[in-house]
This record gives sequence, structure tokens and C-alpha cells, in this order.
Amino acid sequence: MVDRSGRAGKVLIVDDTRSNVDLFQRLLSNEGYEVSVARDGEEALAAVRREHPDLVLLDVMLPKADGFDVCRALKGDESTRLTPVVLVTAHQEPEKKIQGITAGADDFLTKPVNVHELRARVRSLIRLKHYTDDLDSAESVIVSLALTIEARDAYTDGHCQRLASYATSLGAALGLPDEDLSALYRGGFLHDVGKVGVPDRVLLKPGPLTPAEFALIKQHPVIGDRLCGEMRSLRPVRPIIRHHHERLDGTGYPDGLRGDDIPLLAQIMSVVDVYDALTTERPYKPTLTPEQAWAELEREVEKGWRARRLVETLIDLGRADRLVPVAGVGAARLSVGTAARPRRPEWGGGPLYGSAEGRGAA
Amino acid sequence: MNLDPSALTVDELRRVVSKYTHDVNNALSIILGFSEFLASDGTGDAERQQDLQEIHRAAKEISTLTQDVRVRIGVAR
Repeated sequence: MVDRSGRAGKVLIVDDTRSNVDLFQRLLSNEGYEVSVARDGEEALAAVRREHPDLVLLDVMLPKADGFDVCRALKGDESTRLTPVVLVTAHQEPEKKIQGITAGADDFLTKPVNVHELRARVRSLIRLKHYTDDLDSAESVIVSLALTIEARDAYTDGHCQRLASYATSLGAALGLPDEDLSALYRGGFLHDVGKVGVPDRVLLKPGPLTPAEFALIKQHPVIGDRLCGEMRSLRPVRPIIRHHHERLDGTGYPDGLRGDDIPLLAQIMSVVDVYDALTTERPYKPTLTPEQAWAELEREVEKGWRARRLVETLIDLGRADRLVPVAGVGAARLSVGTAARPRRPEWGGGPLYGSAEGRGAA
Repeated sequence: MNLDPSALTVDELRRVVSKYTHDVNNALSIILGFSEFLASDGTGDAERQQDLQEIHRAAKEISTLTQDVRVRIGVAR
């Protein structure tokens, strides 16, 4: 079956009865789907991870792991949870359906299977899967864009990855739930995506900025927020993008928020952003050791810019050697694992840590 | 398991019926699926189509009976 975008659907049939497999296989091949087969639960899990099917037609009675177990495993894994699963069973007890729904199944087919119903359900679930894929690739485009922006300056290679990793560690140490950690991870990559709207002559200017230029820089959180505005999946990340340059005393930008009005995740991002800028090499400033960077952050707490709790937790993590950026950490959290990672640079030029606020006249 | 119904508790009876009807449904799925499949490929003459429809109708009937038994015995609604 080829949809409007010209994509054929891929269906994985999981069944240990040969005649069932034959029937489904012929039925779906005739509809134009690409079909593969797994004979037991373990084989099914391996096949999903290897082949990324658009739909899994999963028999409940299987050798080794049964259909419910397989379904639960697929739905519990971030990389496979969006693959639709149709449980096929010859049981008609309501308890079995409840068990299937609890395991996360997207749909149910009861044997004897009505072939028209099978065709219709497969078609509609695959269409839905393709929509999800489109959303996923829209997010990939934005992440690629963010990494391309990072690529405008050779001095900040790995900045996004490190921020994602630092912010997630700090969030975890603060006991934040998984959704927040996922937002922090993605925020690490996306926080500066709005710099795409700032001209190179300003972004890459080595010297001090004029007030007009700084005003342009200050637009990047707003532009980034707007860029992601249409995407539902990025909703939790948007406050990070918009507010990662705010300061607790209200002297930050773009909205001059104060204290608790600044979303916690954005505060976390700004602390690790400053820390990373201080501890990495920039042309206009010495590279600080972690200890020196912590001292600088403590000074920012005294100035009323950062929350003491966040800075202290970051320092604790650093002292315990738990602030080590590891490439690919939590990559599974980002639904864009396949996004291209261009070599990058960020822009340079600030008196201290080269963040936009450091360069401005503020 | 003892299949003398009078020697079975209600729960045991339900389990036995559930198991049998489950297996019947599995087999029916194949009969119904393939006969529909053959009927829809458009290659048979009228007589063959009619034969296939007979198979299909009989299988449907078994399916209804099975479902009926399951409802009566309380393993399906």
C-alpha cells in the first residue's frame, strides 16, 4: 500500500502458525505492503529494532515471550513505542482485551479475522504512523538547523551535546521527572535555534556589539520559540528556548522575567550554558577550570542572577565527577537520533563567556 | 483433565470451552481467510465462486455457533 507521499508500508507479522502467516502475508502483499515474519517473541523484538516496521501484527499465543510481553516491551522502549501494534487473538474474553490495552496495544483483531476489517485497520494505523514519522522528521529538521547554527563557530564544538548532557544530569540530581529530563535533553540541542534569525555579521562579530546589534542578538530566544511554536511535540521545550537568558533579578532577556516566573527548566539550561561557556576554549577569554567556573557561578548567585540551589547542585555533581559530558548520552530521549550532526562552531566574542548577554552593553 | 462435564467445576468447564473454542477460532480464521481470499482473486468461474461461498458460509456458521457457546458459558459477551 503506497500512500500519498509514495511510501509503502512495512508490516511485521508475528505468528508461529504457518497457515496464519501465509494468509496474512498474501493478504498484505497483495495490498502492496512489504511484509516480514517473526516466529516467536524474541525474534519479533529483534526484527522491530532491525527493520523499523510501520505496523506489527502480533499474535498473542507465541512461544517464548507471549504477545502481551512483546507488546509491553515495544511500548516501553522509546525507540519502538510509536510503532503501532495490533494484537491478534482467538480469545474473546474481555479480560484479554483489557490485558492487551494495558500492554499498550493500539488495536485488536479477533480470530476468525475478517479480512476486510484487517485491511481497513492496517491501512488506517499505517497512515497514522506516517503522520507521526512526519512530525518526527519535522523535529529532526529543527535539530539539524540548531546544529548547523552551532557550526558557525569552530570554538564551540560539542556545545549542544554537552548542554544536553549537563542539563539532564542536573535535572536528574534535582529529582525531576522523566518528561522534564527529556525536555532538558532536547533543549540542550535546541536552545539557540533562534540564532538562525540573527545575521552573521552580528552573530560572528569578534568585537563588542553596538546596542542595536545586541538588540538583534536578544531576539534569538523569541525567534527560536516562534520557530518551534507550531510543533506539539516541542511544547515542553519552548520555555527553555525562550527563557534561557533570563536572570532571577529581572535583568535578563527577552521578557525580563523575575524569580520563580522563570521556568525551572530554563533556569537549569542557563546555569549549564554559562558553565559550559566558561570551561571551554574561546578566542577572547581564558579557559577556566571547573573550580574557577563554579566560583564564577557562585558570584552570579550573589549578584542575584542564578538560583543558589541549582548552582550548588551543579557544583556537587562536578565535585562527585558526575558532570562528564558523554557523547550520545540519553540519545534515545531525542526522537531524532538519526539527525545529521554537522561539525560546528558557535559564534565567539564576549568579554567573559561569550553568551549573548556577556557581549552586550547590559 | 477429566472431560465428564458433571465432574467439572464451572470454572474448569469454562477453561475447557475457552481452550476448544480458541483452537476452533484459529482454524476458522484460516478457512474463512483463504476462502475469502480465493473468492476475491477473480480468477474462478461461477461454479467455483459458488463452492467457495458455501465453504465461507459454513465456516461463518461455525463461527457464530462458537461465539454462542462462549457467551452461554460466560467466557465472552
